[in-house]
Amino acid sequence: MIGVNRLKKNYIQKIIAYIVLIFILSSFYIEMSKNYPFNWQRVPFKYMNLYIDGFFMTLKISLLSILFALIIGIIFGVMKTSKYQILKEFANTYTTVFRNIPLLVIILIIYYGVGSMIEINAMIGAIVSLSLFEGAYISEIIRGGIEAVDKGQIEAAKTIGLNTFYIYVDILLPQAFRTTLPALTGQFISLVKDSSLASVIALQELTMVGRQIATSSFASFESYITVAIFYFTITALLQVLGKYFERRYAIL
Amino acid sequence: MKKLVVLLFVIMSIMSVFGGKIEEIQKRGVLLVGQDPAYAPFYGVNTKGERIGYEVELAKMMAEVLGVKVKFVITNWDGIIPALLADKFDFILAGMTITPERALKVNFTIPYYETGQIIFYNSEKYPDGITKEDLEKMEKKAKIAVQLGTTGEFTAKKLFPKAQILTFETVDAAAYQIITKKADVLIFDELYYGSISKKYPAIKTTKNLLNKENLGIAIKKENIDLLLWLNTFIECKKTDGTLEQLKQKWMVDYDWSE
Repeated sequence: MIGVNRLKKNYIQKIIAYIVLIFILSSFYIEMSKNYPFNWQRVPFKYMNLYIDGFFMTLKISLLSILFALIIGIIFGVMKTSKYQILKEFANTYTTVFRNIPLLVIILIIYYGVGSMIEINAMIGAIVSLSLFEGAYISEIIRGGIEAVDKGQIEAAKTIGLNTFYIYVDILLPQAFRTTLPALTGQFISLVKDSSLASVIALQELTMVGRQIATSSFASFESYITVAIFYFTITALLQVLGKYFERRYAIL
Repeated sequence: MKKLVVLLFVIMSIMSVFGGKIEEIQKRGVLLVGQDPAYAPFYGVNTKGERIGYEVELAKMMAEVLGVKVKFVITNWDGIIPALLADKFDFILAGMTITPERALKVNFTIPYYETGQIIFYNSEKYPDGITKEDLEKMEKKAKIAVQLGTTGEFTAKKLFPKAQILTFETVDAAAYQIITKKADVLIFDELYYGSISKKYPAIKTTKNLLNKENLGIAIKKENIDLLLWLNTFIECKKTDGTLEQLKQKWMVDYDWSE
C-alpha cells in the first residue's frame, strides 16, 4: 500500500517538473519571438532531406570515431598500467599532448598542417582528430578502470599460470569495462557533440548543413534549433544504450 | 634546325609553366570552385540541396565554355585563401573583395561586381537613422557588429578605431545583435540589405556607402593562363549584358528565395 502511494507521489512530482519546464521553455520562446519572426514553414521541412544527409554524416563520423577512440584508448590505457617505464612514458606524453590542446586547434592542425603534406579529405581529418582527442580521455578512463581491479586477482591469476596477455584480456579489461561504462558513455556523448567542430573544415555534417541552410533560407534560429534536435536524438540514443549495457553487465 | 628545336623546347617549357592550369582542368573534366557554405544571393543551397545563386550561375557558364563539369568545394571563409594555396580548388569565386593585402597572396581578375560597405541599423532604436558622423561622436560607446574576416570588419576597424567591434563567425549572428539591440550598427556589404530587410522590416541602412569595393576572382599566383582567360571571360560577359541580367535575376527582388 505504501509502495503505491510513493509511486503516485513520484508521478505527481514528475508531472509538476515537466509543466514547469514547458512553461520556462515556452516563455523563452515567446520572449524571443518578439524580436525574431519565427517561420517554421521555410525550415526545417522544405530542407529536410539536407538535414537528414547531415544527420547521417554526423552519425557516421561519430560512430567511426567512437570505434577508433576506444581502440586507441584501450591500447594507451593498457600501456599506462604496464610495468615497462618506456611504454608508460609514451602513453603519458600522448595523453598530455592531446588533453591540453583544444579540439578545434587539433582539427585545424591535422587538416591544414598534415593535410598539406599528404592529401586527406575533411572526413578523414575529422575522424582522425576526434579519435586522437577523445582517445586521450578514454585512455585515462580505462587506466582508472584497470587500476581499480583488486590486486589480489592479478596475483591469483599469476599463481594459476596465466600470462600477461590473458590477465588483461580475461580478467582486467572485462572488469574495467564494467566499472568504466558510465564514464565511457559520457565520453561518447561528448564526442558526438564535439564532432560539430568539424564544420570548420567544411565537412558536410549537421552543424555545417545547419549553417548553410540558415544563410540560404534567412531562417537562422529555426535551422539551429532543428540541428539541436538532431544532435539530441543521437546522444539520447547513446545514453539509453549505455544504460542498457550498465544493467546488463551489472554485478547482481 | 638545332635552333628550331631549342626554340620549340623553350616554347614548350613556357607553355608548361603558363599554359598548364586550363589544360589541367580540361583533362580533369571538372572545374573546382572554392566557396564558403552560403552567402545569398551570391551562392547558397535550395531545398533540394543544389547550389544556386549569382556566382553559381557564373561558374556554370565558365564550365560550359571550358567543356567541363563544375564542382563547388566548400571551405570556411577564414580558411579560404590557405585552401586555395593548398590547391584544394582552382579559384575562389565567392564575393571576394579585391584588396591590395589579399593581392599579395593571390592574383585577382578584373572586377565582375561593384558593391560597398554600408551601415545597417535598427529603425526601432534609431528612428531618425544613424550616420557615420554619429558613430564617430559616440567613440568608445559605439558597438559595431561585423563578420570575422570580411571587409566589413576591416572597414569598421579603419573608420572607427576607438569603437567596440563585436566579431561574429556568421553575418546572421552579427545581424541578430542589432535586432536584439546589443549592438548599435552592423557594417556589411550593401547587398545584404535585400535579404535581411525581408526578414526584419525594422532594419534600415544609411544612404551613403562607407567605401566602394570591387569583387574579383582570386587565383593562385602561378596560374597566369587561367587569370588571363577569366579576365577575357568577365570582359565579354560584361559587354554582352549577361552580368547585368544575372544581377537583375538574383539581387533585385529576391523572388528566388520563396
